[in-house]
Amino acid sequence: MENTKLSPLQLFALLVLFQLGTALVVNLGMEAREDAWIAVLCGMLIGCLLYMGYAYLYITFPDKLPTQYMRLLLGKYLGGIIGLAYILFYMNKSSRDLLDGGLLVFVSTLKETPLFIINTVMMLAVVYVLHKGIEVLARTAFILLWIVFVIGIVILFMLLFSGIIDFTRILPVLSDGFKPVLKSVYRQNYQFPFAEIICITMVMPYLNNKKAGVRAGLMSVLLSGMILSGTAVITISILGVDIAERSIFPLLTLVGKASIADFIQRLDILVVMVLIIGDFFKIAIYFYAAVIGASDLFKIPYRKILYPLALIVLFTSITISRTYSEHVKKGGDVLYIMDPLFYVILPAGLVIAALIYRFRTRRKSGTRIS
Amino acid sequence: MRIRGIGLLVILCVMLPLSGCWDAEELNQRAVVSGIGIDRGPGNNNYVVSLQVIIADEISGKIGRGGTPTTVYSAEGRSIIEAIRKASIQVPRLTSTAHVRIVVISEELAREGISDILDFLDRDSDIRLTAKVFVAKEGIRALDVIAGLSPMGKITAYTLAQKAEISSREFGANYPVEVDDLIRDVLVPNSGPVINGVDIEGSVEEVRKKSNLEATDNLGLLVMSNLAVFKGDQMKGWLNEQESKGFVWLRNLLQNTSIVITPGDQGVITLDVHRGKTSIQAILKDREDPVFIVKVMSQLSVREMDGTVDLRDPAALNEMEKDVNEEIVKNIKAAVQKAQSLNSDIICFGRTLELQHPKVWKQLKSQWSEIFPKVAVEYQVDSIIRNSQMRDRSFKYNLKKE
Repeated sequence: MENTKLSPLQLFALLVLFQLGTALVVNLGMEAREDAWIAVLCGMLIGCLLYMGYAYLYITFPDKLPTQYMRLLLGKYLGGIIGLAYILFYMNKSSRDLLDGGLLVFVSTLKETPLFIINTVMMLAVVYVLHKGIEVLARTAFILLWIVFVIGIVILFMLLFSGIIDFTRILPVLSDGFKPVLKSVYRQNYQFPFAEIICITMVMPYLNNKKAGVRAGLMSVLLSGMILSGTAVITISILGVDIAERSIFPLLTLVGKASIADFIQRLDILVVMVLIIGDFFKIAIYFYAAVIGASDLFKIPYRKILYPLALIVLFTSITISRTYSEHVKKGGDVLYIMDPLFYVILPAGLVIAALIYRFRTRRKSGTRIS
Repeated sequence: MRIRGIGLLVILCVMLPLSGCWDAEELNQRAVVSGIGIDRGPGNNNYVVSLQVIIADEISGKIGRGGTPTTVYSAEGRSIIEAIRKASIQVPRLTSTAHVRIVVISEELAREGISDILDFLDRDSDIRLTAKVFVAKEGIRALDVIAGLSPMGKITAYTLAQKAEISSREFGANYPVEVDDLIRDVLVPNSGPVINGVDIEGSVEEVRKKSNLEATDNLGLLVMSNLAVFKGDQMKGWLNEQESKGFVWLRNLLQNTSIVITPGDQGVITLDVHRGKTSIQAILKDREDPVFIVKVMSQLSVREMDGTVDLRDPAALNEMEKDVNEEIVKNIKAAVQKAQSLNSDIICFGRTLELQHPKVWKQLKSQWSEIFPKVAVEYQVDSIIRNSQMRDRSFKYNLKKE
């Protein structure tokens, strides 16, 4: 383990950017149509519950990486296999996010540039920062978080002063009852992006303040949930639910609409910036989780294993799917068929195991005292 | 030392992709398109796409050759993109559609259906949703509109977009319609978009000539026309001026307009509407048969008077308000009747019902095309004449006294 320390505020910045990442620019919760914002809020609440589970594991083993306490709780072999599964899962996710970002940049702005080059440049930046260590990543996050906030506020004011927001477009609320919302939550909204923060458990052992760190994580889920829900409201009330639902990149279309007196307009590049910043942190945190896990599991120094794994992520990101539709379809299906295993079932098993472990160690120490 | 050499090599290699010049396109290699016109090809199902391209040299002045500020390239293709690509055999530079402000569709094409054009406008990542859409009146081609020159402002497409905005602010018989408005409205059941018409006053041949700009009264001029009503993606008819005004009232988009009334022996009185607010309420007496109540509130001021009414007297103003109410109802009624006769719910009664009585709407949705033409509408107009500009009585008032 590296000998670095993170402050709770840095963790907060990392997590907010991680969750806003790709979720801010793609159409989130659109299966619930007009009620996407409710679906996102529901997802956020479930995300909070899941986060508390992850935080409980961290509080029980504050100095251990998940791959370490998995082996402690479930035995050397079973724990090792599950740890390996998580590493592969994180790597898959980070290569998916790499492709996500690459494709969106490719579709929206760099139409002539080969995808491989876009992805390579992105991965180079990720590897460079991670070579410097997680602390550097966290400090970068803190700076870029402010940039993202400023961009967000500029865009928000542009939209407000353009006078194009029509809130009647999100009406009627819950026209088909709660069912479509629940379906959307079940299929997408609690996993993406809220439950994804499970990979932060790989970073949490570096916290310098246990309690405040856990609280900062919870705050980050609440804040990004509200930002995402607000974005859904604004997207639908400007574009209307139909255009938003069919858009690959609603935020970009939306910002193209903003124009104050035909003078201040064309802020599209700001959205692409937000996308690149968010996507960068998503890739970086997933990738870091995979690397630190692998280095712990296989006892290989962190910086030695960083580059080979980066190459694997880069090449899988190119070969993972042939088209954008295939990529989105695979992602959407995996999100509710396979991912709950990693987000809900395995962590729940670990929490139960941790409870038993605690109970047993307490009894042991109890008997020793008496 | 060797490591340093390798490092240097790596840095040099990395610099290649990092410069990010793959997609770079210098401004002097671009042909900036300001407007697009789409016609049907002669005697076939092709599209003829006309691109109005800005000639930067003529705009900036110093190095101009005294030519026209814009030029038009047009090409034919089975789809719009194909036609635009084909136009490159005429254009020496890369056509860039990111700055398109207007899209003109010929009436012939609009009557056949515009779904293909809509998909192009919706999908394209260069053209923004803020582009304004127009229908060229029968008899003139979209090409004629795109080829026109404007006495004020050098780029015709931009002046046309400004005309749409100014006329909606001053005259109130239209409102600027943008691409996303169209796409939203096309999808409303038994309804459709409403698009601004554009017409050429005077000679179609003269409006494209530079010589036309050398006279003070132009032989040809591009003007805003009335509104074209669509059902789904097909154009069904035109609103006339009265119906257009009424329609803008109904959509609650009125900013400013004038109302002329002729009360009895008082001559002609003209009033300005400063603020109009319309709300529509759906009332269900029985479930099958909704009644819509259109409520209009307006604030006016007297602008012109050819009579001897004493405007210091509130009772006189009350009388006048009644006449104004009647006039407004006449406009709105005309618009509603036209929409019902074309059976296109451009007023969004269906949406009103959906918002106010969602359950009833679900039952009626499938039969809406039969219900809408027969739906009963009631009108409640409440006007207030706030002021009478700088004078209270007309000078005629004192003439009469003597």
